[in-house]
This record gives sequence, structure tokens and C-alpha cells, in this order.
Amino acid sequence: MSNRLLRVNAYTTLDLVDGRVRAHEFESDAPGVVNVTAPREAPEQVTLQVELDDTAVDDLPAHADEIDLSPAQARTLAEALQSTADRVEAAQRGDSL
Amino acid sequence: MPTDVENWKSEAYGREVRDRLFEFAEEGFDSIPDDERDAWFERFKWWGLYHQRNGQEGYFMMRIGTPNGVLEPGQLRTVGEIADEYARGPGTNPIFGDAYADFTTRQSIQLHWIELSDVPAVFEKLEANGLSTQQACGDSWRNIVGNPVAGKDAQEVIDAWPVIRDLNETFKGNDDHANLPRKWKVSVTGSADGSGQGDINDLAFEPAYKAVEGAGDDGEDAVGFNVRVGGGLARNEPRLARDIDVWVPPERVADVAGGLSALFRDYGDREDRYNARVKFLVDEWGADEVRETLQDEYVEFDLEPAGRDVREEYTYNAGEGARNDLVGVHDQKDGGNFVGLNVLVGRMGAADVLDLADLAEEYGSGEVRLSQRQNVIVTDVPDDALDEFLAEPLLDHYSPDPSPFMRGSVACTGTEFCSLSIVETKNRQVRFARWLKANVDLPADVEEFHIHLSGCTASCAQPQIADVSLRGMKTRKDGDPVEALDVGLGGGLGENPQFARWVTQRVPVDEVPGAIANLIEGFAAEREAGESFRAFVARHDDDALDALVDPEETDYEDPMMHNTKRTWYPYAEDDAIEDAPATPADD
Repeated sequence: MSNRLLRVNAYTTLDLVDGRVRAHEFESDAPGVVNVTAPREAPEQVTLQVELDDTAVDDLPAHADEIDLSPAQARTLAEALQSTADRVEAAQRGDSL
Repeated sequence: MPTDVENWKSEAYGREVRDRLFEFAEEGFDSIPDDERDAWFERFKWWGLYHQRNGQEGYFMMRIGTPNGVLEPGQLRTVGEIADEYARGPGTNPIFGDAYADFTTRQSIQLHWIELSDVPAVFEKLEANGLSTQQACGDSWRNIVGNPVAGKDAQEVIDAWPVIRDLNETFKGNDDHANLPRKWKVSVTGSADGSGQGDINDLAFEPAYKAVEGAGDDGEDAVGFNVRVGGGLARNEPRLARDIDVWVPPERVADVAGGLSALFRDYGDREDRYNARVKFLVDEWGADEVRETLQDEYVEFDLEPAGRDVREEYTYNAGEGARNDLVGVHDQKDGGNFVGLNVLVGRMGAADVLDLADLAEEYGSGEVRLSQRQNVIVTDVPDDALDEFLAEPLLDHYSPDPSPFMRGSVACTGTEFCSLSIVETKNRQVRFARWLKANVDLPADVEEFHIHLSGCTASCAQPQIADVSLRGMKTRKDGDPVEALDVGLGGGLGENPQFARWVTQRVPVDEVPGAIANLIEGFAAEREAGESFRAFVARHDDDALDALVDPEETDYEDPMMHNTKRTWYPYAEDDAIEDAPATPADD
């Protein structure tokens, strides 16, 4: 395997997530790292970074995916995450009743 | 556009920060306005002070820069007394107690739990004894490293200690070189063992011979230094220092070092701190352009091409050969001995520091020196005092002849105090080493095995240059998130340095000792006769090595499996952030 591409320290947004890589020919579950970042000075966009563990994915070379979001896009994403999280939590509460 | 840090530095930086630091110390920690804390904490680094992590508000790590790791007679006692009096806080470490000193991988000393109100008194005591925290951190000349026994080592080619002292005096507090784009780590080595670890520094001077005019009528070559630039391990971007084809005589080292420091000051990237270290400038320019710019703009004499180096003799942290570290009894060139003592993970309780200061005075000259493997060296022990010194009870613990797993262990600060780390490190590495010593046998002819544990990708434990490299991560075990380590193998320095290859990810920490045991078992079974571990790793592919790592639970127990970065102090009984102690009162 190669070295990790993303830096991982206490400022990393999530150092352990469950993910999967899915292609037409294969699918692999893999733990990964998710980070949200922007340059310290004069940032123009929000960058969302995802790196699944290289050792868990045989069919792709080591890589990280990075998505640049405008502030408006980042907020749209945040709102979608928030509302979906609410729905999942509500369902979980319902399950436990 | 410059970064926040660059703006803060342009407002106040360097020597002028001291007055303000003392005013805050007088008025109390709370007198630092909330919206200025980030700026002041950044500036305090130049004076060797790092604010400790979340949950430890008002407490500081203090780094004392000891050039080349040299502590002159009496200075170790000063460090011990300061640790005993001031490096005490609300947390007690279950292995090391209430007050201790850390010897670092850059031959410096770190103390923790320092309160701002005590800083003037600590500085006064340090300075009265010839010690300083100035530029121990921050964007400037850091503590200069090298072979710690420079000037005494029977194996040295040239005495680098006067050169290091001159560089330290020239560039510490030098306003022209006080505010650089990023840290500036310099290594100057005069021995043929590679113990200055120049390859991982921003600027390295390594011993080399050169036939130069006027060097001597007897036809002998002059001894000086070859120059390399742009090494470093941090940020997932490790680089080995690049050879810029320059040889310099000792009397001109300061000119070349100052020229390169000024080149970095003027051309380094101040827009992006992630891209600021000189290694990235060397990537962009190449070694030739660094040399040309140095020649054209920064030095007034003709640079000599590189001389004949002695890299083929390098053994330090090289994976095989003699003197892989400086532990043990070794000859000095004046007929005395230096005795390297193993300080597991570099940490020594304050009482032990004071006891060692006594022993250094009783059996040696009182001087001690610090190595880049976090160990301590007592120098100037005469032959007739050696046996008695080696029989001292303190040396049962700080051994000159320790298990390979004890002497090979290096660890960074970790979540105990550091705001970057994501796992606990020092105590864990102590437990790893003790377990491996008790349970694992290396092949009889293998006397060294280096395991470096770093809490994150910042690489303060130099994980990429160890036989086994461990780096903090997280994983899930039995449904719960637990601390974990990525495992790399086969790194080291020497003539042909090599960074570790990362082969296994997210091993739960309680399965790491078993993984190392299985790895060593596989190595012992499959190695060729006389083969070193590093050579063994080099001839296997990543999948084969990953299979050998084979994590496994054993009787090793890890009490720090939980998410220690979320605690205020990992070892506290009530460790939640909400239970953090109040900011220390002004006194």
C-alpha cells in the first residue's frame, strides 16, 4: 500500500467512517477518513475530502477524492446531512419504542 | 495573500514578544484577550512555549533548546530542579508520576504543566545557568542537532561542536533570521556514524574530505562538510535532504548556513504554511537552482563542489552494523568514556533527573548529552570509575545495555498533552516495550530493533525511519471505536536512507504487540542467514509483509483503548472534558 494521502490528526473531521467503493465490476467495504477544510487565508471554497483505506480496496490505486464546494453548496450539503440525520434518528427512536 | 500566522508575526514576533509575555505572566493568563489568544500562542512558540491541548487551558509545554544536546556541568540539575518545582499540574501520569522531563528526538528537553505566571521565574533560572527556551519552537532556527558526543567521540572525522556553538550564537536572536516562513532545522555532524541524522533536516552539514589549495603540504585532504538541503518527515510528505554539491570548510559554515537561511526567508512560501518548508522549495527548484541562487545572491566566495563523504560508514539507525545508537560504553578520544543510558521513550522523572545529575558529577565531569533517540549520555567517565558507575542502582532502570525493544523505542508526546495527536503514545510505548521484552525473542544475531510510535501524521517520533513504524489512527472493535495504529516497516537511515513502507492499516492497539510478535516470528523463520530486518523487508512485497504483521490479541492489556483525545487528561479518573480543572489561578 501507499502512504495515506490525507493528513490525519486531531483536527481531521472524522478519522473513522464506514464506507464502500462501488464500481460496475467490483464492490469493497472499507473504513475511511473524511475531512472538511479550506485554506486558512482568503478561502474561496470548502473542500470535502474522502479517503478510503488503501489496504481494504484491491481494485484501485491509493487515492483520495476531493470535492470543492461553494459556500452555498456546502450549506446545502450541511442542511441535507442535518435533515437526513434527523430522519435517521427519528426512525431509530421509533424502532426502540 | 499572507496567512493569519504571517500577519500575527508581522505585528509582533521574536525578541519583542518577551516583554508582552512577561506582562501577561504578571497580569495572569486571563489577561490575554480571548480574540488574541491564537495570535499570542503562536508568538509564544518563539520563546519555547506551546499552549497545551483542549481541556488543559492555561498550561504550557516548555521546550528548552540545548544545542547538539549538550548540557554543561550543572545544567541537568537545573532542569531537574525546574521540573520538580514547576512542571507539576492537575494530572498524574500512572507510570511517570507528577513531575518529569522529556528528552526529544531533536536533542531538546520538554517540560509540561508550566503555568504562565511561573514563566519569568523559570526563564530567570534557566538563563542564570546558561540555558534558554528561545527559538525552541516557532518559525526560525530551531535547536541545532548533531552527533551529541561531538568533540569527544573517538570515531569523529571533525569536531563539529565549535561549528554548532558558532551557528547557535550567530543565528539565535539574529533579527535577520528570526522570522522565517516556517521552522528551520539544522544538523551539523562531524562523526562518521551518521548520528546527526542530517537526511531528515532542512539543512545538513555532513563530514567530507576535499583536496583544496593550501590545505596542507603533506598532500592530505582538508576536512569540512558537504551540504544537503530540504529533508523532513512531516505532513505525509517525507523528503530526504538533497545534495546541492557544495563542500564548505568549517570556518565558512556560518556563511553558507546564513545564506541558505536567508534564501529560505526570501523565497519560501509565506502564502501556504502546508507548502512552506524548504523541502517544497527544493522540490520546485531542484538542487541545482538552490546552489546557483546561493552562489549568485547569498555568498561572496566561490562555492566548492562537494567533497568525498563518509556516508558508507554510517551506522546510526541504519538497520545493521555497529553503533546503531549511542547507548552503552564507548571510547572518547581523550581516553575517557561516554556512557549512553537508555531512557525509555525519553521520559525521566524529576527525582531521577536530579539523581543522574549527582552521578554525572561524581563519576564524570558533570556534563551530560542528549541523543536523537531520546537517550542520555554521561560523558568523561574515566576507566577507573567505570565499573563503579555501571553498578549504580539508577542504571538498573536507565540501562547502558538494555533489551533491543527498550533501546529501540521512540515515542512522541501523544494525547497526554498534544493538540494534534489522536492516540495515547508514551505510556503505550512503555507497555509495548515491556511486553515485547518479556515475550518475544529476536534471532540471536539481531541486536537492534527500532519501533517508533507517533500519534499523528506530524511525525514527531520520526516513524518513517524505524524498523517498525506506528502511527495513530482509529478503528472499530466489537462495535466500539478504539485507538489503532497504522504499521509501516523497513525504514532507516545510513548510507542509503529509506522511508518505511506502510503495509497494514488500523490495527487495534491491544493487538499491536501480538502483530509485532508474529512479524518477528515470520522474520526469524524466513530470513536468510545473517539478514537484517530492514533487508528482509526490502526483499518482500507489501502484501507479503501485511500477511506477516498478523494482528492478534495476547495477554497484553491496553488501558487506553478509548478515545483519549476526547478526555481532558487520558489518565484521570474522571477524564471527561467537562471534568477538566479550572485554568490555574494567578499566584
